[in-house]
Amino acid sequence: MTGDESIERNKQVVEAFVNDVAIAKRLDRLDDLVAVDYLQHNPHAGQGREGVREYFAGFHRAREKDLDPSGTVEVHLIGEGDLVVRHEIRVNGLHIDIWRVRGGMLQEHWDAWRSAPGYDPPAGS
Amino acid sequence: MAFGAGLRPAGGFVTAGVGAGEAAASEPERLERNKRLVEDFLAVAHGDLAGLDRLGEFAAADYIQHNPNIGQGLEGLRTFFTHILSLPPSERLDPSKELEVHLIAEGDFVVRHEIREDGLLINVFRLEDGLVKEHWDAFRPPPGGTIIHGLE
Repeated sequence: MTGDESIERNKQVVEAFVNDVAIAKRLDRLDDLVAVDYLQHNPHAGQGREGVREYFAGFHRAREKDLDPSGTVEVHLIGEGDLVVRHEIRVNGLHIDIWRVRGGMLQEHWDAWRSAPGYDPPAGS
Repeated sequence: MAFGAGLRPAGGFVTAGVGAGEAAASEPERLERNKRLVEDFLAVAHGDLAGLDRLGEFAAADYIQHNPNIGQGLEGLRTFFTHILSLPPSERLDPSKELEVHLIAEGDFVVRHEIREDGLLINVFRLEDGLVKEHWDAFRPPPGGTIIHGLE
């Protein structure tokens, strides 16, 4: 696989995770998309694939409104090497995720949020 | 987008982006140049007051800024970095707390991913015509930590 092909593949894994797991809440897709020892740097989520499962099954629902896709203005996916950045411009703020992707699975995750002026950060952001 | 002084380019000679008339670069070369432009820009921004006169070599006059603490355009940058350089070290990012930096470049974007002891700082730059044209940033403080000035 060329460098460009693997970046495209990595972006597809990220998009599948966002669409299937984060938005559609299809937790059955986790086994295909997230490494069992997923390294999570968001302190509000647990470690590993199971941490992701718990996050989207329960806690995450508290901030669903704040991160609902209807609030998305623009998304840029920027990929190089084994890192993919998801830069999401929203009406209520800016949400940046960075994933390390290897072997078609998400391995590691960082994220940060900037509220738009006048908005509070979502709980757990 | 406040930083400490630990961002000097290794070579020591700070150059601006690709000028007119240069031979077309391969895509990987172009992305490396974009990354160097961002690194050189940040070195100047966090260097000294006299160096701020060079900001226009790296950033567009009509630079679009999405950090609400910083004004628009080149003038907004100059005002902000002049202010940052005047702060005592306790109110600025401590360069010794920087753990790891990744630059991720694709298309017209360069993302700077800075992992620190005192938080996570992500800067997104969009480049146009060999200059930095637009900027977004977000910061995650460590659990229980406070936001550093300029990163609110």
